[in-house]
Amino acid sequence: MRNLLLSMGAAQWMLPALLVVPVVSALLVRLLGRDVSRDETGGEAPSGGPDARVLTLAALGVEAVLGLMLWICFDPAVVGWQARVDLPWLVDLGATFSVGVDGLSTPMVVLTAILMPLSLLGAWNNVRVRTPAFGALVLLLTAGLIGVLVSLDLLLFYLSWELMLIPTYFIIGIWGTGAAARASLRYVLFTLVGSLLMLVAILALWNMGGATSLHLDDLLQIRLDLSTQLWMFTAFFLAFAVKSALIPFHTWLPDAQGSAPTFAAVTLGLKVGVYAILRFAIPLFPAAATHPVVQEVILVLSVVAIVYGAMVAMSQTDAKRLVSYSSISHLGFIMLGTFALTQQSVQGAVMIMVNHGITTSALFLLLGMLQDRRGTTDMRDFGGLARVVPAFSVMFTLAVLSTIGLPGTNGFVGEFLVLLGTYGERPVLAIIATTGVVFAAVYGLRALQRVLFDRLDGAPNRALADLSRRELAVMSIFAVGIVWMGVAPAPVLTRIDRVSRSIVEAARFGPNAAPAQASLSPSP
Amino acid sequence: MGDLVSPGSILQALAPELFLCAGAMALLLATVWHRQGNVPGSAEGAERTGVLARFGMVLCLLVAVVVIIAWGDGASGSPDQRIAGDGFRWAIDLIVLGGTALSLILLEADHARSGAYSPEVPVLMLLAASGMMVMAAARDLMFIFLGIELMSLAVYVLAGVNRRSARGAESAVKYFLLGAFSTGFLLYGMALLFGATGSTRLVDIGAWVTANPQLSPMFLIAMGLLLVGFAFKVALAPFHLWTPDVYDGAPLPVTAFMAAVVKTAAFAAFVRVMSEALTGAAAHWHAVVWWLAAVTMVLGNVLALSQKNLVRLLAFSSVAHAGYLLVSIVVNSGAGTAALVFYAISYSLATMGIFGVLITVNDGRDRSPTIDDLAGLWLVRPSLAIAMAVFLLAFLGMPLVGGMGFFAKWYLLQSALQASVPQTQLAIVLVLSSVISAGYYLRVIASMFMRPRPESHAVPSSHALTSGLVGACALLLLLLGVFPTPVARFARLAVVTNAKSGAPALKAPVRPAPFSTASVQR
Repeated sequence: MRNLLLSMGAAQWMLPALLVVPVVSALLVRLLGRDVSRDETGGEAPSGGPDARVLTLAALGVEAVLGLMLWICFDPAVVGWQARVDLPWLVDLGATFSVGVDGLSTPMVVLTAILMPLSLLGAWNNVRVRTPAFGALVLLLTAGLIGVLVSLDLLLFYLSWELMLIPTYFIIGIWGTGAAARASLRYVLFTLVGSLLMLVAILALWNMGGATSLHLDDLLQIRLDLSTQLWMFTAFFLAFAVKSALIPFHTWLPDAQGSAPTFAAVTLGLKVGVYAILRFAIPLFPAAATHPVVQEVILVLSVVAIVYGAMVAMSQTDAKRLVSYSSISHLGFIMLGTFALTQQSVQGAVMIMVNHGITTSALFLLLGMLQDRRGTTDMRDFGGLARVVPAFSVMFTLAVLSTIGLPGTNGFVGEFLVLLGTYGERPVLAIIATTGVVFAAVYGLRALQRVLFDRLDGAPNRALADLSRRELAVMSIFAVGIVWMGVAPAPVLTRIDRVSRSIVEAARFGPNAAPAQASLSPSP
Repeated sequence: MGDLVSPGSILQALAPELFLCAGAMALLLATVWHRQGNVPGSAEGAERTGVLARFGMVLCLLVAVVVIIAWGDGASGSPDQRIAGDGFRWAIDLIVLGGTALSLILLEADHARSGAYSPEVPVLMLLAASGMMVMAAARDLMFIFLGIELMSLAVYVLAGVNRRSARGAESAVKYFLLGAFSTGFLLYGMALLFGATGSTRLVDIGAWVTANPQLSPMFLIAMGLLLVGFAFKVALAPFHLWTPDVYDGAPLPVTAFMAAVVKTAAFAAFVRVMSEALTGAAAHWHAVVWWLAAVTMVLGNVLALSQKNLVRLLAFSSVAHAGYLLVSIVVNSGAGTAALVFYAISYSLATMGIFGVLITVNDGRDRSPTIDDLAGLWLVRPSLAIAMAVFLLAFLGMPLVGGMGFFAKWYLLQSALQASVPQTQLAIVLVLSSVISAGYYLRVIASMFMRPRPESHAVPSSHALTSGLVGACALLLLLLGVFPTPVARFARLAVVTNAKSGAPALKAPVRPAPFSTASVQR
């Protein structure tokens, strides 16, 4: 299979296709797609053509197939970029259309590509009005997400980074519930502060390299002194930390996810921000990333995020907000692993990134299904659902257990690796972080109890319909993912193995790294 | 007086400007050909204004062809260096002509709805445009003044051109009084500069500054007055107070003209004075201009946040954009000037597009559209709303979805960071104030996309010409946002030839100009 694909030149067109397919189909969906909602109301004559949602799903399906091809073609033994494509773009700036993947980005790309059609299918009836526009925005958002993960050129990366922003803004603002316009505005403003500062840093970095190339490989060759590294790292880190909602930049996330339609809530749960830290911020500015003060601040913030996120999650009554805060807590683990900078902890962090994507998406989809049936996700309105909707309950239990990090589910592997890797460097922080797992059990199990097992009361709850066949199919895929990644994580781990080692080594001993003594200073 | 060049060579150097002037005069004659009734919106007058506007567009395109030919031939301006023949002049000329043509389209579109304009209006726009071309070409304070006055007088009239509107009259009077006031500053500054250096030619002033690094108080005062005068003209905070009132009162097409074209031309003259005459004194004005830029960016954006009236909102936003553009003067380099040209193109396209949308939505009413007027626009006119969103995002500088606006900011930031003294702090002020601007641009977008359409609002009718203009502007912005190289090359060409023809001018032995000897003897 792999040989067949490679003989078709897959390495040359896979990644460009991953970007071009959604952009082109966004136009097609907008122009040709039929708005089904207007059929039902009969208000306006529907424009002809196929159902916009089906078109969107087809395009996302192509993405998923391309993602699987990438997974098959990827060779874990090779160090460096694979499936790399360089096309000339803006000659005067030295920007190229340069894409490629390595062990860090491949799992994320594959995850994203598969997750998108599943999320759309799982939230099929979540968005019923003005579906052509929705489909187009969904596809643009997908292009942005994939673009962030595969671009090697910093301008292309920045463009993709911002391309995630505006479609999400529109999706939340138009199809969201509650104070959606406000939440989406907050999301944009928070993100813009970080990303525009990053733009200045990108420009400054490019300038120091002679303003000839924006390619990551070329920028990595620039020698930078510590003070320059520090401010550039701050700008990059701010952008990525806001996007991934690290405490104290997290306040936008629960609001946005709480009022977003299911699809947008799922995409907001993808931790592309941390990916970007591992891909750009740490390799480009290793001395700053390993600077004792910087490292200390970020590690402490991560531990605070783990504990604080979990504690706030405990006090939530809205299930979507609970998942949001649990995701803020998990982000703490990812950050902890990332900045502890040992091979195990980084590997664990990437592992959580992938698994958290699966689990949170499953949870948001399930809650979305609940919301579509009942119009609310407030846990006080539910209770005893296990007797009414058994299939839903099984899936929900599995997803929550994976959030808690039960061994045997996918949540366990990454957290274990992170704690293991961090313990060697920072035992105190690792021990405090471990309490986060306990707290997770508290809010997770309590949510299960409130929704599934308490007394069944209220006519609407008795009348709930169980998962439809479509929903069941989608959720089974998630269930398989959750169990499979928990029992046999080896295929993913081997792919991350080399790259996490090279990231750590480059950060500690690379040409731009701080002198050895500084980076290995003993922890307090 | 033997050194004075013949009038012929000056006329030759100003050929495109004179061509435009002559064409405008001919059109003016055409307006008196027919008797004009004072009946509002009479069908006959309406038609004639439209026809004249179209002739004006054709004239603009013809002059643009002349300009391109002159640029291609490497026309060198007048031999005494009072008239420039460099790429910067031609580039600004093309932007001005393009912007004027687009404004004429807007004028015709608005006129088709309201019938508010008499046939002289297109002519006045063309005359203003020729004044701006003189400003772009002038390398002599007297010519700059001539250009500014030619432009300003026409624009004063344009602001109040809707005779049946009280708001228009108020706007015109305000604009005239403040404009005349600022011209006074400018003229006084020029006079003092002449007194201090003995010449009105920018080349001589530049040479004088290099030769006398110890600047006299008179020179410093002159510089300050010039700065204030230009700050008024391009609306920098704290000299921006007239902008919202005047923009709000003037008819929409005229506002578009003022916001895009007048601003570009004023900046062109400003840049030329600062870079050709006052570069040597940069140590004295650098900090002032730095703070002007920073304050303008922040204040413009903050004040725009609370506006409900779209035109006032755009007026404050244009103040903020003047602040961004001022960065190119702070860095005072070729890259900065190229960034200015690039930004002017992007900004003009977006402004023209936005006003196209506003004219469509406003439908000829004599009041400024508000954010509420746009509520739910997406539900009734989706493509119009999407185009409007593109323009606003271009102002904001969003990549891809905002198209060229991103690269406009990119080149500005690039020039700031590549300056001899890197202006990192100013770059950071610029991006952070852009975040503030997101607050109000997105509010407009939210109103269009995220609010229901009130029953009382009529669906705006479409007008082929406006829709074409709006669509073309949006498409251009989006395409150039993916592949900005042609415009970037255009902008760089404007500066490269500037350096070529500018360099020998500066190296040439500085002869005392006839005027200067005269003044010294006196």
